Parts: sequence; C-alpha cells; structure tokens
Amino acid sequence: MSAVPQTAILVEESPWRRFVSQYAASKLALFGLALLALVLLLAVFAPWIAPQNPYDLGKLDLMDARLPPGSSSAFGSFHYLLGTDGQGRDMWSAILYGLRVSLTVGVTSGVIALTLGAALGILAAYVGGRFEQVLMRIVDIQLGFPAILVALVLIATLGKGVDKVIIALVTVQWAYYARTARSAALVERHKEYMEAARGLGLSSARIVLRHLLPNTLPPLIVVGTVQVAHAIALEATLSFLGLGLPTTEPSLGLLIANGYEFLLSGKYWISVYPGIALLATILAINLVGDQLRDVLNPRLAR
Amino acid sequence: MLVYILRRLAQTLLVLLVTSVLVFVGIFMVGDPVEMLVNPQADQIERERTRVAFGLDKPMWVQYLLFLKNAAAGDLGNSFVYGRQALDVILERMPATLELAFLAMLIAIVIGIPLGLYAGLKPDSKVSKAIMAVSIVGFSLPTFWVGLLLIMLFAVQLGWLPSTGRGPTVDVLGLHLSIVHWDGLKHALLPALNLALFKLSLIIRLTRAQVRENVLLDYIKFARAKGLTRARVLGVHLLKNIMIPLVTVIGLELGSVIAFAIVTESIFAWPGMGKLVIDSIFQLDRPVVVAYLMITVVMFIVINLVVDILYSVLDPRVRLGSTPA
Amino acid sequence: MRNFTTRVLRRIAAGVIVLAVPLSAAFAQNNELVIALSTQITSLDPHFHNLTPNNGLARHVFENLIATDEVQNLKPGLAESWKAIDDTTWEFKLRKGVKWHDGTPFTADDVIATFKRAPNVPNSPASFAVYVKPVIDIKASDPHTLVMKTAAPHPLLPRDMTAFQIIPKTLVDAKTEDFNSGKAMIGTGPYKFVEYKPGDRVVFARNEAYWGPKPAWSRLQFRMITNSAARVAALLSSDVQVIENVPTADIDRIKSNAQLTVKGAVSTRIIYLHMDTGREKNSPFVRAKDGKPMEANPLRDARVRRAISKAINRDAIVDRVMEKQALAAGQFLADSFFGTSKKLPPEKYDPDGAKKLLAEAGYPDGFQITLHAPNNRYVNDEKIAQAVAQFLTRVGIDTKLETMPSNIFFSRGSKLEFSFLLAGWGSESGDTSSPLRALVGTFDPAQGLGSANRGRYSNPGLDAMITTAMTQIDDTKRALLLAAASEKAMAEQAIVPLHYEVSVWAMRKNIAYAARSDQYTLGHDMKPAR
Repeated sequence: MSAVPQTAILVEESPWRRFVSQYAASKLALFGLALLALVLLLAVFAPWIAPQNPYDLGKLDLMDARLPPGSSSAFGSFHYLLGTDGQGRDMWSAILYGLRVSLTVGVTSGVIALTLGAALGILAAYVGGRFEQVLMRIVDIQLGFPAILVALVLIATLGKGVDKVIIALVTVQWAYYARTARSAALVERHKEYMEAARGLGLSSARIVLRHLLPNTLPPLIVVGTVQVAHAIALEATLSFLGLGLPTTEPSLGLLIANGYEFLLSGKYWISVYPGIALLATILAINLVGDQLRDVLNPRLAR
Repeated sequence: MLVYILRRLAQTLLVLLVTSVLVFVGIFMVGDPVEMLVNPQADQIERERTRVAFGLDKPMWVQYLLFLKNAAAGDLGNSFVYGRQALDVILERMPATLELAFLAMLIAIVIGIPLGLYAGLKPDSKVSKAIMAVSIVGFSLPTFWVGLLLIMLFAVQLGWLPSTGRGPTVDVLGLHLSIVHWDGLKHALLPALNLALFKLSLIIRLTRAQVRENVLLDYIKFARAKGLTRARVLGVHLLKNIMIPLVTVIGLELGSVIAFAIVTESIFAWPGMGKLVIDSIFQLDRPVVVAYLMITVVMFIVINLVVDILYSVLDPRVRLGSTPA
Repeated sequence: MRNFTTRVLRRIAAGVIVLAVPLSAAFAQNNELVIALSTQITSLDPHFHNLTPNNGLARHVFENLIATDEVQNLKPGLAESWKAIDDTTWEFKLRKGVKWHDGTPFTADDVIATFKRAPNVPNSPASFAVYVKPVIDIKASDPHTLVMKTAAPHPLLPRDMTAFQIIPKTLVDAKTEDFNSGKAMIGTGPYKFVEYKPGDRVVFARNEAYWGPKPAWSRLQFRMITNSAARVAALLSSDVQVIENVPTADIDRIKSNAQLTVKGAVSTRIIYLHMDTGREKNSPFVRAKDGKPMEANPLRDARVRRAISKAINRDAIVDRVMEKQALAAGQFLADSFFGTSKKLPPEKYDPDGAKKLLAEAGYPDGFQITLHAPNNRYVNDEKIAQAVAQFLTRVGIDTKLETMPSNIFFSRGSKLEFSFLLAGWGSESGDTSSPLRALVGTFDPAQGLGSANRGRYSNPGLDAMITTAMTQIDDTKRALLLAAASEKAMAEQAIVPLHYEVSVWAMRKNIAYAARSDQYTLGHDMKPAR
C-alpha cells in the first residue's frame, strides 16, 4: 500500500461501474431493462413454461378453435388462459413460442444486416473511388427490389423456414444500413481528426476501426434499434402475405397476421394479445437501446 | 459536379440492365406464368396455345434478348394480364401512389421534425417522454394491423372518414389527382396516416438524437454568445447541421414509401402502383414487374443523387467523388 | 294553339303525377347501388380474358345466347329456344325486338360476328376459343334463326353458349382498348357503360330500352376491394351496400347486425385432396414412420386413400374452419347439380376404421407424408390444410404441412413435384363432366383429358365411361352415365373430396339477391326487399 496524501483519496471507479450507474440514471431505461429481461426469460424458457406445444399437430384440437380467454377445452381439463386461435392453438403457448421465433428472426437479421451494411458503407466512404461507386449502385438496386419479390423467390427456391426468412430480411435490410453508414462516414471523412490521424501515419485499419467507426455509430444505433422492430414487423407483413414462416410454427407476426381477419368479428384475443406481446418486446428493445446509445455516445455530456 | 452527375447517369443504364436480368431470373425461379393466366378449366391444348402466344415456350435467354431489343426501342413489353403496354398500366396508376406518398411524407416531416426538435431540446420533460413513447408504438406495430385498426375506429365506429377507396379525381395539368379537394383528401387521410406512422417515428427519433448531440457543441454556444435569437440558432445553425443524416433517411423513406406502399394500398383499396405490383408479382405478370422495378430503381438513383448533391450543399466539407489523400 | 295558362296547367299536372308515383318506384328511379367486388377485372372487353370477375361485369352490358339461373339451369337469353336437329346439328331461334345500345336491331349476323371475334382477340391470356372451337360451321337461315354444326356429337353445346357474350357485328374488329375506354361498350344488356377507372371502379347506368325486366337501380357502381377485411369494413361503414365473398370469420358479426343480411349458395367449387398414384415407388414426400425413405408408395393402395378419407372429420372442418359456409362432399359436385349420383353421401368420420384400413394395407403404424397447399387461392385453404394435417396425424399418418402462394403451388404441382396436395375445382359447366375429365381422367394432352390431374390417377375403365357420356346427346341418359362414372371414381377413391364451397354475399337488409352458384354478382338481379 503506497503512501497517498490524505486529502487526495480518490476511489477510481471502474469503467463498468460508471457505465452501470449512468445507465441506471434513467428510471425508464431500468423499466425497459426489466421488461427485456422478462421477455428474454419467457422466450428462452418457453418450452418449459408453455402448457401446450403449439407445433405438435397431434395435440391440437380443431373443436377448440376460437375459444375466448378463460375457457376450457371441450374434451377435458385444459384451460386456455388467453383463449385459442382458429386452429385450436392455446394463445398463451403460441405467444411464448412466437416470442422465441420473432426475437430470433428480428435480432439475428438485424445484427447481420447492420454489421454487413455498416461495414460496407463505412468502407465505401473511406476508400471512395470505384469501389464506392459500384457499391452504391448495388445499394440502389437492392433498395429498389421489393421485399416481397425477394421473399417469393427465396421461398420458391428454398422453401419456407426460419433461416430462409432471416436470409430474406438480411437481403432487404443491409442496403439501408450501408447507405446510412456511408452518409455519416462521408461527413466524418473530411473532419480535422481524420486528417490528424492520417497525418500521424496511423494504419488505415486503425483509422477506420478506432476513429471513423465510433463516430458514425450514433445514427447507426438509432436506425438499428428501429430496424430490429422493422425486421419483426416486416416478417409479420410477409407472413400476412403468405410469404413468411411456415404456418404451423408461427412467430408473433404470423399470429397477428392470422388473427387479422378476426379483428372485425369481435374475437380480438387472436390478434390483440400477440400484438401486445410484440409491442412490449419492441418497446423493451428500444428503451434499452435508447439509453445505451446515450451512455455510449462520446459526444453527449455526462 | 457535372462530371459526377454524368457519371452517375451512365451507371444508371448498367443498373437497369442488372435489374432486368434479376427480375427475369427471379420470376422464372418462382413459377410458370401460364398456370396463373389461363382459366383453370382450360385444357393442355389451350395452355400450349397461350404459352406460344406469349413467347414463353422459348428458352429464357431468347426471351430476355427479345425484351432487350424491344426495350431499346422504348417498348417494355405487354402485360400478360392486361394485354396493354406494361408501362402504360403502371403510369396510369402512378398519380394515385404519388399523391399518397406525398401526403404521407408531408405528415411525417411536418409533424415529425418539430416534435423531434422539441424532444431533443427538452429531453427530460414529460411531453418529450410521451413523444418518444408514442414514437415507439409508431414503428412497432405492423402496418397492416394499424391500418385495419384505423379503419375500424374512424370509419366503422365513428363514421368520420370513408373506409376504402380513392376520392373522385380532378384533372390537374394532365394528371388525375384526388387530394386537391376535400372529398379526395378525406379518402386519402387514413391511408396516408397509416403510411406515415413509421416514417414519423423514425424522423422524430432521428431528429431528437441529432439535436441532442449538436446542441452541446461549441458552435451553438458561440452562436448564442453572439447574441443570435433562439429561433435563428435553431432554425439556421442547428437545423442545417442535423440535416444530412435526416435528408438521407427522408430520401430513403420517400423511395420506400412510393415503392412499397403495397400493403397500405391493398388494405385501403387504393388504386396505385403498389397494389398493381403486388398483384403482378403474385400473378407472375413479368412485363409489369420488370417495368415497375426499372422505374423504381431509376427513382431511387435519382433520389440518392439529389440527396448526395444536397449533402455537398449543406455541408461544404463533403466533397463528392474525391478520395481522401 | 297553346296559351300560357295551358302550358302552366300541363306543368302542374305533370308535377302532380310525378308526386303521386308510389315511394318504392321513386326509390328505384334515381338510385345508385354500390357493390364491392373481391377480385380485380383485367379488362372490359368481354372476349379478352376468360376470368370470373371479367365475365360477371360483362354480363351487365353484353348478353349470352343462353342464360343461366341462380342454380345454373339453362334459360332463354338472346336465343328464345334451341334444339338438336341431329347429333351434330343445332338450331337456335333468336329473340325478336332486341336492340343494341346504339339503337340498331339484334340479328343472327351479330352472333356470327361474335364467333369470329371471340377466339381471336390479340394478347388474350385466357381465350374463349374453347367454347367456339367445337362449332365448325355457323349459318343464319334467316335474321332470327341460326344453324350450328359440330364435328362430333357435342352435348355441352348449349352450355358453351352460356359462356361468352354476344357483340354487334360492327365491333367484329374492335380492339380491347376500345372496350376499356367505353367506345365499344355497345351491348344488348340491362345496363350501359358510364365509366371505368382501372384498379378502382366501374360505373353502369340503366338501359331504359332493355327488352327484359327493368333493373331496380338506375346506376351501379362496382368497387374493387380485394382485401377481405377492408371489404367487410366498407359494408359496415355503409360505404358500399353489397359485398361478395364474405370472409367466414365475419359472417356471425354481419348476421348479428340488424341492418345487414347474408345470402349464400352452394357453388360448383369442390375442395379436395389429390394423391400421387402415378409413381409406383418413391413418392417424393412420403417417408416411413421413423423418417427413413420408403420405397413403396402407399398412395397407390385404394385402402390407404379410403383411410385418409375416413380419418378426416368433414363436419368439424365445415363447422369450425368454414363457419358453416361449406357442404361436406362425397363426390365431385353437390347433388343438386347435373350428373351427380344419389348414392354418394360424404364419408363418415371414422378414425378407428381408418386405422384398421391402414393396418390391412400393411401400414399399422402409419407413415410420414407432407401435404402441400396454396395459401391464397381458395377460401381458408391454409386453414383447411392445417385441419387435415391434424386429423391425419391422429390416425398415425404424421403430416407435415407446406403452404405457398398459388403461383408457386400450381407451377410445382403441375410439374408433379408433390405427393399429396390440396386443391379446388370449379365446374364452369355446372355438371360433373368437367371435374371427371380434368381431375381423374388419364392425363392425355391430345384429348385434353386430365388437365388438372396432378396425381396422375389413371383408370382406363373410367376413361371409357367418361368418353361415352360425353357423346350422349340425350340429357337424361347422359346424367345417368355421369353418375355411374362418379360412383366408379369414388369407389376407387381417385380423389378425397372434402367439401363444396358456399358462395356468400352480404348486403343491407333492404336489398334482395338470389345467391348464385356460379358466383357472379349481378346488379340487375338485385331488387329492393320488402
């Protein structure tokens, strides 16, 4: 223990501690974190929590279709907490399993698209020249292609499945990230600190990774959290059109799409409960994402 | 600058070529247009006749070359389903989609930017928190769902607005527009709102993020210290600096609104291009899909070009087309 | 010599007479009926595209030689009477006193011109040639008598005459654009063309000089609202007064609304399952129970096919999935239609019987199979397929389900990529010859047989019965032959019929419409209800 002047005892806060205390400064963000934790727990433990496996066709009973919340099965003791859908699936179980699928699809496709798109976009802005031109033209083509056509072609050639939907969503989204990343990087490209870094003789990789990337990150994160939500909603729209997940293994989006036709007939539970689950999930992701962005942003005052 | 623009336009041709190839191949992989065209009662003889009549019996590359030959002369082919020039069928419905897109963007920008500014300048006020919460709802719920809810509330329950369809049109400079009068506007309001919700949320959040970052920067402090009015500081200095990412996103969203108002147009029976293209994709009406995608791709190129030019106008540090030393 | 007073008196008298007209007639005088259709039309040209929505709208302006009532019985149209003079010659007596919308009289030459135009419209995606082809010669023996000759006996000739519209001879070279713009919309029908906004709406006005019963509404506006929920919402919010193709989920809600009513009719569309009987071995989507590939093709065994039929609870599907808007099926058409058998009730739900049959056929534990179905073509197609998969899994046939949009489904199905598929068939002619020929006739492109036989079921005995029936001009005899053919096909379980679709319309209570089995929504048949 070295001798330290009494008047100057500073307890050096670890970066982690600092991060946590900054994050916890917002009550809303804490709520978001709790909600996200709940959603993740439900999704991960769905097979153990759910009273029924909605993917097992042998267990479903058509005679129990469209029962309101709180009813019991026609033949037995099964209680349908949130009612059943048009095929006799227990809504509560379907929502739990649906959470898993939706989160998997949304987050996976969002992360892959973000990484791919941001990398290409930043690189394009940094390298410039031919590479940038070609990449941006590819981006233009990709942006022009409707998600529907992409999904249709994928289903026609590869069939349906969670992985195919993820591929479709990544294909549709990466261009968006690339364009946004490039625009942010374009501005940064000519700023003084970049000149300084080049003047210092730093390697390109170092410049891009340690200087360009962190400064283009903020708009990307905003777009990113919105895009995860968008990916899940896009998956719902594709399911609505019959181009999404297989109908026997529904995501929240597919449940909502299936329940769509019942909205006018008063059987709200088939569509509204999955909708609430979806809303809660996306709300949680974004509340956490918002605070994370604020905390990690080097340019905001503490 | 001029060289830059010319070069971009030259690249456009290449892009169009690649797009058309992708569509030909894509539709070929999906299925057989003849199956979707003929009356199901038709026997094999009829099917063959239709196949030959539309040139679908030839190998794919021959069909594509024929298409290129005609395209060079300005003929993008006849729609299989409508029997008319695919381009005409699309252009006929373009005004409807354009006016919907325009109205939606207007709503999103006019409401979004001020709300975003407010939320950015006063991040801790209750109103701001409410704005942010509502903005999350705006993009969390799928468009088709919100659309039906809007119809259920405003048309079925309250009866304030019509549930579907486009209002009567008026000839304006050769275009048939409906939103220039109140009846048409009434019909367009719900679908435009449906379309705008996502963009609105995005613009609010992006504006707020940019404002919060920039408001702490030195140049704002200097402007205030100089004694400029708050309005000028916000309107001129702050706004200009947050515009670039905002303009990018608005550009992208404008393109996507026009191209993909598909679901909204379906639900509100709005006779626009989006509805046409989704039907054409499902019916494998290849000429219409090719023509449509070529139009959309050109549109995105033009939008992105305008946006890039705007960058250099808004921020003199951005020099387009140059590589860093 | 009229003076001022007389003129005024005349005016007052006219006003009084107008006011004295009973209210119901006044209601019909200047009223517009707004109807929502469920599919887009592709053109107003009656000969361009043989598609149900196009044909339905065309019937308002143009008419057929022979018309059909709501259960598809033949009734006089522009032809007052017709008969077969011999096996290959038919004589039609045309209606006198009928005028085209431009005032010129209707004669036999117009029909001859129609025969020239109908099969030859350029760029037609689905041509009407098939109805005109069998007639090798057509002559007018006088302005109101037509004689048609066919190459071989063709008992369905009158049926074919109900399938396409007659146009005036002046339009024999008319282009499709002329119809779309309204220039060529000159017919003999109860309504005249007013306006067409592609993708949006079509407007007709009453033909005051129509030869038949006067339609009740002076204006018809047809709006195309393809999204079902939006269509229902339009009815609920009073934006439209009639809708067709009501989604099953909303029927209860509409019925419970005091101002609305629902009308249904059994259609000629049957929903059925087709099985791969063409392959002797290695059907692509059939596996053994444990998932390993299986060489034998169980679907070739009629007992397995019957087991599948027994395993399905049709009543549950009709009740739960179709919300009672369907009729359980035991043959190709509901027994109110021509050529059906009285001895083919729907197969009773018998899961134990199904398991027994499977054991008898050598599959006591069942096997694995994938069911393929479209998801945007027939009413509740995906849901029906899910239900079928549920029922089959319960008797040991583990069924996976793959649904896809119809453009992929039909392309792949026609290429025989499936083992087990769900599909539908609508018999345009309203009799069983159509499904018999197309679904279970041996696939033979030269003969036009088996055009939708995606399981490649083949039974030469059955083919012979169908061919004999199709050359029998006498209606009674033909009906018996077709019934016998249906019985033979069902004895072998060539297909597994599920149910017949019921076409449903919903409208305001003060409108009456006789729901049609051919699914047409005809404005001139709508009347104010008491």
